[in-house]
Amino acid sequence: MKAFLFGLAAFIFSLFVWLFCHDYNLNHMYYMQLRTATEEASVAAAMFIDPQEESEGKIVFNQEEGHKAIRAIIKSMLKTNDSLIPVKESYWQEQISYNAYFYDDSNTTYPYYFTDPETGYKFTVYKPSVIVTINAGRARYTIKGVIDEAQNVRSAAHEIVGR
Amino acid sequence: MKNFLAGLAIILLLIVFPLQSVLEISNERRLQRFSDIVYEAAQTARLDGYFKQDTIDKLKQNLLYEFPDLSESDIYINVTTTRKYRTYEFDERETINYDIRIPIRKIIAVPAFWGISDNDNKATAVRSGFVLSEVLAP
Repeated sequence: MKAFLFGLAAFIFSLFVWLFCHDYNLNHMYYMQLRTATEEASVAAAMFIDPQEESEGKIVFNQEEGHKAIRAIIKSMLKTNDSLIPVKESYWQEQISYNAYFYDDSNTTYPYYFTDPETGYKFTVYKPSVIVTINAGRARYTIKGVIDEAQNVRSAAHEIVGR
Repeated sequence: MKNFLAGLAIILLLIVFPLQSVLEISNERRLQRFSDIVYEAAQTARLDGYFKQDTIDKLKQNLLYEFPDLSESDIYINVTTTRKYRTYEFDERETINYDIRIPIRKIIAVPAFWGISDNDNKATAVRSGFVLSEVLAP
């Protein structure tokens, strides 16, 4: 009986340890995908430039179109609906939020030292750049109350070079 | 002897968990490498304006090289093959889309232990999304 109880306790303990490792690995994998999505979002937002300003030799981002592109990237890569709420197939479970910072020839004196208030991500803006921070919310953890409160946040910057 | 047998039974029961963790780490590495290969192809397509046949062939080659257990028929590729252009306004019709899938043949280390058949012990890794073209309109 003692051996049986010991075995049962060891089995349950191992199950919990494995569950934690499983959830942790899964979160790590999706966190890496979040990084790619954030990079893609910053690239996509930096693609839209005011043509009139461009003809005068300045790079000024079209922020409205940039935001449309960022939302489309989030919708496509993180599997959300138009309100950025994850759909059933998505790993994420909370509404996704983002911040985009546009630094260009209309509003920046270079170099500008940027620090993201959410992530502490530091970036020195030497040329027109778009910085995007995406907060995908909490990860899925079966065992609640260990590290499941941590937010999954990533920042990425894209700089226009070669001008 | 009784204790030895009980201990052996416990070890057999518990060995499942480290084996499962090892398999998951191995699958995660596989998925990460898959993502890297798809990312590289998507960035090439961004510069070209679409997925050229060369890019698709290289993508397949890289996947087959990295994952020797795959055959060409295992790889699902659905990508934009017509040229897209950089625009001044966001237009979903000008996105370069990709949807690439490969099978993962083993997701449970000891399927018999959980009563899972080999047919159910598989999944599909999917990388899908879009990139915007860098090619200027003529």
